[in-house]
Amino acid sequence: MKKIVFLINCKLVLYGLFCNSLIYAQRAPVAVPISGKVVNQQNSALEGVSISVKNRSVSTKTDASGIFSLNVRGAEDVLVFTSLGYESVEVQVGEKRAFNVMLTSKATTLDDVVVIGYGETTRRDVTGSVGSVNMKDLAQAPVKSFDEALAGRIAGVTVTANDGQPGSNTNIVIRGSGSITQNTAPLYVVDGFPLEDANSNSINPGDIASIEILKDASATAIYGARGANGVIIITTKKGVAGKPVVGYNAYAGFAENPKPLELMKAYEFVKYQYELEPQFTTDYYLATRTLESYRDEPSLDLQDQIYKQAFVHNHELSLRGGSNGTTYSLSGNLLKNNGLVTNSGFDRKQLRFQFDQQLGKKLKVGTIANYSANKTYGIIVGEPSMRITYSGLSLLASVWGFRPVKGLNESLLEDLFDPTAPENDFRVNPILSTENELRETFANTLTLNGYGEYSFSPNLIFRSSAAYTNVMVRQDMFFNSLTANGNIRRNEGVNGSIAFRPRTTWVNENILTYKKSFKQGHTLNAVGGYSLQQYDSGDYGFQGLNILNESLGIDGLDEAGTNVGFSSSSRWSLMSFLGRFNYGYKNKYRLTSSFRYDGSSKFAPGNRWAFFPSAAFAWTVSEENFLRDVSFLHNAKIRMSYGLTGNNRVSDFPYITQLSVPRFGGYSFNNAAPTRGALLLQYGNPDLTWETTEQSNIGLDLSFFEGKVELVADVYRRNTKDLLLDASLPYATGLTSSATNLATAYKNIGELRNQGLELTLNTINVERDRFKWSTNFNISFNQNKIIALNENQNALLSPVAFDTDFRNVFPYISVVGGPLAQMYGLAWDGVYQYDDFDQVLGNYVLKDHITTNGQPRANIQPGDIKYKDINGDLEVNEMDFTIIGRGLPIHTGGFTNRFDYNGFDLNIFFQWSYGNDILNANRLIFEGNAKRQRSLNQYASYVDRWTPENPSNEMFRTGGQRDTYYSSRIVEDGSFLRLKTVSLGYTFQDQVLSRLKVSSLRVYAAAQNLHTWTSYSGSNPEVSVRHSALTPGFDFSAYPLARTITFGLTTTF
Amino acid sequence: MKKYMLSVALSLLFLCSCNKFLELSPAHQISENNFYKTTEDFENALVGVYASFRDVFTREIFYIAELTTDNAEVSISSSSVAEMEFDEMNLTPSNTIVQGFWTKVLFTIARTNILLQRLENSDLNTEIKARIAGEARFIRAYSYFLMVQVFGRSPITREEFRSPEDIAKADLSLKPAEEVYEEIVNDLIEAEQLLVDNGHTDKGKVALGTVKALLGKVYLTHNQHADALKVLKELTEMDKYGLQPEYQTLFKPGNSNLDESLFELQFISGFNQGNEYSVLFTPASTGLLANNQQGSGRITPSLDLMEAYEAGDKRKTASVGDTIRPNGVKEYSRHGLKFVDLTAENPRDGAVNFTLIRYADVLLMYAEALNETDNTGEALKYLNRIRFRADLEDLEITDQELMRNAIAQERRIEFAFEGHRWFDLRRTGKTQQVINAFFAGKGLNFTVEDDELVFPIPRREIDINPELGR
Repeated sequence: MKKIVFLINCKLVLYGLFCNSLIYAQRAPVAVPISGKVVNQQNSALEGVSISVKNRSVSTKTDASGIFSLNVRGAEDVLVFTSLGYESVEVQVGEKRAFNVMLTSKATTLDDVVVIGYGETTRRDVTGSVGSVNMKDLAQAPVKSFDEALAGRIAGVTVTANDGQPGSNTNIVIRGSGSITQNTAPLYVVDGFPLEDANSNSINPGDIASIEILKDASATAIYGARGANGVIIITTKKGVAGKPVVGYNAYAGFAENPKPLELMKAYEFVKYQYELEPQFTTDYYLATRTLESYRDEPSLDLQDQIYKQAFVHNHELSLRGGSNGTTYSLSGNLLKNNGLVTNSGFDRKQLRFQFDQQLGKKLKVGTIANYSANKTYGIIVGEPSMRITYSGLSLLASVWGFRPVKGLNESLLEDLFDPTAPENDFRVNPILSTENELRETFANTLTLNGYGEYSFSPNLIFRSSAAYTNVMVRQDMFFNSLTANGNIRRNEGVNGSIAFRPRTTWVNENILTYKKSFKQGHTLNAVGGYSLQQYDSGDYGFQGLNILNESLGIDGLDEAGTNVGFSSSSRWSLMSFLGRFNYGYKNKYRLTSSFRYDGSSKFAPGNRWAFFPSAAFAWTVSEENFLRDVSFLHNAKIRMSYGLTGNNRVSDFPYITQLSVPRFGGYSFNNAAPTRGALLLQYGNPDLTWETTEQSNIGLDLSFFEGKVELVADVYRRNTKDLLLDASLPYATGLTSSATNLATAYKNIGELRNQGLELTLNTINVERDRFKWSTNFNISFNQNKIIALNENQNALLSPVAFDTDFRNVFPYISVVGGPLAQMYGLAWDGVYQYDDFDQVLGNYVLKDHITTNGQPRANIQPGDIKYKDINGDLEVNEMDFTIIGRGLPIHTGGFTNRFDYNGFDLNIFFQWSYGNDILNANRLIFEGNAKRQRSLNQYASYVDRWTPENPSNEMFRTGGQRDTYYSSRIVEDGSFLRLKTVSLGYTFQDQVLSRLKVSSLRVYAAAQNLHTWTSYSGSNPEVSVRHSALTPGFDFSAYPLARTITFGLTTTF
Repeated sequence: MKKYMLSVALSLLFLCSCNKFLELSPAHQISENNFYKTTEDFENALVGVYASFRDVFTREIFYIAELTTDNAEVSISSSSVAEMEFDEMNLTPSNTIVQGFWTKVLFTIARTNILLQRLENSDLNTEIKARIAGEARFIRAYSYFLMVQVFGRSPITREEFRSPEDIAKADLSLKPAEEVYEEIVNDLIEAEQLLVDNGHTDKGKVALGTVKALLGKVYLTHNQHADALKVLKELTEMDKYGLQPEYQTLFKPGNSNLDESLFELQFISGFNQGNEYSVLFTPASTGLLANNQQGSGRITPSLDLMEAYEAGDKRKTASVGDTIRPNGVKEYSRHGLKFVDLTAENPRDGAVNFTLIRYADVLLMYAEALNETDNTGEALKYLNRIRFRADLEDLEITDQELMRNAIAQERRIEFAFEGHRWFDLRRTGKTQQVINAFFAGKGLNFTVEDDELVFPIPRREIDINPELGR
């Protein structure tokens, strides 16, 4: 963006000069008097401009009326005009004796173009809270999509990954979760077109020119019913007039798992098994040998086999240019990210084309086309499908739990089942299963945009545009008899499916823009228009169960014992009228007001239309006379805004009660093939409407020392009312959805508040000829508070489906008056010690004044887990649940340092999150074995458990936890500081370039997720499996986050 | 400017058609607006009712009616907390199995409510209307009967909810047992009048005899012995049902449409409509099931049950086993055999029907009703009919109390692992005496307290619906 502004400036400079290109005769040096006047762009005289003669020590300054006079030696002398805050200008004297020079103000970040909804403005003029991503920094990260590198870049924007699965989702939340049960993702606007799915994997980050984040209501209200969660505006690169530029960028490198977990070794395992089940262990492991002999036994650790060092590489080729009113850009990208886990990864092939053409003076047309073919493959490590609620079915549970040692006559690694595992233990050999599973998701995304722009006059422009996006997702799955899902113990037998999920959106927008600057410094910018959008989605495919011949793979689906077809479709439409009015006075005062009137098919007639207005005012204080003389102050602006925005993220027809006749919901009469029955699918609410967010924002933009130090501060408060709450209904209503087995329906109920502070500090610390050092620091604080919930309800409990035994204990609570999603359970109180017991007839009997731990008093023994009895009844149960952790961070942020030295550049980016906790459910299963499962290996940390000789107060004894409570024992501080991106590059100098016949060349090494400082014991503190706004920071069997190191080059021809 | 005006005009045009643009419908799903119209729609909805009723009997009922009692115990060390709570009779409101049962039963009730209300407002042929209504009312009555027996009280709903406001207005509080029984009897008497005496060839469906049998059981449980006697007498006089000559055929694959059945819940494999009894009742070791598979060890017969069989009782080998053969070596391990298919390729997808009501039950209920109405002599005849099939000697009892005990013992053996035991103990008021003795016999400290005779209302339900706490 800077570049464009700079070009404009150059033109203006030339316009103000008398340019001469003459050949001068050689003369003896004689003093030649010259004079002239220096003005600024506004044609006012500039005082104090210094005029010097190049390579000589003669100089002068302009007076109050901008006039100067000077003696030069002759035509070949060069005058240099410099003034603080202006671009310096050089003029050859030539034959002229009078010089009228116009200086243009130096382009600072205040002149950066900022893309906003339905228009553009500059940083100087913006009235709302809009964050711009520094694309140069972002481009340093070797990632497949922009969202992976966005975390920590912009204040107020939190980006968290569920886990490290290649191709998995990132959760982008702007200024705190504005919804309780509904989607909190922002709206994406790509090249002007609003999309509710980011499809971020279909865009090559190298094609992105700018990313803007609209945060306050003034900026987002123009997106009305979809603006409440904030808006991310992505603009892709276009060709620039000039000679064609061919660019080639590539990198290659590897990804690795930085932190495998420590597991028990053979001896420790057998010792533990013996304590758990003495008889079984004696028969199985100790029949022919002693426990001691296992000390020399080599231990199996399947982490060595399941994690691979994975190869990643990426290539981009582009051609951009333009002439005679035409600009074009053509670019392509090939990317391959192998996953850490065997047989998983992400590939992309992508092509993008942009073309703009001026037709005559008034009409301009253009188009952008993007096609990307993505393939995501491999086992989903963190989030198995809905019906898999046994912890043992998760991949890493099988890996960590895998026995480190074989029994007699066993070939553990060749068999799918552990012969010692009972029926309800669903673990299988994870290596075999992962190698045999076929899970491939192909997403082919085609985006076509086109527009025509007609200028009735330079002030009045009409633009009509249309966009079409088609995402065709095909999901292939095949589970043969050696997989967790297709083995002989599964009802489905060998099974597979092919599913097609087309999603199509089209948008048509018609916008009229009027821009005018009046005398006396008034400016006006008005935008009005309407927009239509429709979205269609489908889900078609078929499934084969009990497939007879598995060797055919997915091609054998038609030879299945049972074939099940499925088909469904859905759709929504949105019609909107929008407008914005922008008034400015002398660069001092700016007033913006916008509105959007949205109608949506998602609600019943009568509740369809809603109006979302906003207003903002900005006052550039530094333009006022009383601050004019404060020389270090470059710019100071106060922004204030208020407005309403909406969120309509509900299912497509939430107002209609729907039934379905599912394939498997039937009943068989006379043992014949079953008759299918009609089931209630969704319970409608005809009164449903938008959730509305009321947001106020006060911001301050400060810039000091010619822009070398910039500070942006914002405080905001967002109140969301009429929350679209997927409220729980009593089971007594019987309205249980067959999909979730929960009774719920949408209601507009409840109120939520987010308020916070955002600070961004950009500084240029050193700026010399050969060395430059600049930094960016940003930090965001957000407080979230529930004002009201469902009638009579003062708390909302939220389950996490991770294991069927834990399904009735809800580890998250959202209390009225408190923040969303606090962790909820028992307060852990260590381990029962001998002191807690009386000895009666050789038995240990818990003392009367000591609380139980939820087990019958008589069953409790020294070494058992101990909890705090909150209500004082000496019994521990649900009544003693309390808040045991916070799901949301206190602050998050990022810190970037850039160094340039003599062609070398170094970019170091840190990102952090502070104050949030993680519910490490892995420890329930692998540090104490809460389910007391046979043959389940444990973390090495459990070696130090309580024994009569080792009265640990940390780790309870073998079998010492027999409940299914979540407790503060497994809640850990999830704060972290991550060295997220480091890149070191070298840009070759011109001499080398001409020899290589390239116009630019940079080589670099870049690393992603290089190091994390955290006290979290799991592999990655940035984790949230089965993520929702109500259940953040839950860790169970999460795909580890890869450390990626790449080497690359960027070149243009 | 002309073009500008044109676009304004165009916008206005769109304004007019906008409501049409926003008018979409969920084409692929049946919505309430286009369903409940034809006979077929109602038949489909009825199938849905049967399907959810069947789901009540797949798992939870055996925890509730067998594992709690002296019939069964958990035989694996890694059972879940919910299962332990059943085994030790120490149920808490967060018990997942109790909640599963609560949900499934109430779900079935809601479905019948919707069906019945829609049926009433439909213009279906009266005959079909009466049949569908009769079957649905039976299922609703059975569901409430389960609620009142397990929880001692129940919320009562009769109508379909049309919006969250309807729910907010509805009275979902727990109603005392008396009111629930009134509701059950109403539904059954209504069903009795709606259903005609057909051939009852399809035992997967409810027929008139089924209704009478349940009504008899409800009366018996509610201490209306004379009413029970009357309706059970009518049932025996219908002369439609009889005892299977071989007891074991009742529980083996192919046990469909048996003379003895009054209602068989239909299971079928290959359609995700199979049962899991083959793993539910078998121990967690290999050697019993096909393909080297293990059972769950969740609900296995207690030693007490094994020893309750009289010598020579043919029912023992059809009901329980105690040896398995891993690697050809005999190993002692108790397991249930009813509805279990040891040869099934996939024991989690069993095709053996579950017989919910059979004629032996009718006869023993009739004996109980006779005995309670001071006709012990007549009762003995029916008791001995059951014993005869089991190859056991006739009993000679004249004392009413001894007769009560004899019927109780006979019912325990006859219906072991068929989901009767807890309810039989509750009906006869012997729950604490029998189960506490059983725990004591095993040397365990557990007891059934007075307040444990009804199960706790699931915690999530109380959280959402504070009315239930009242």
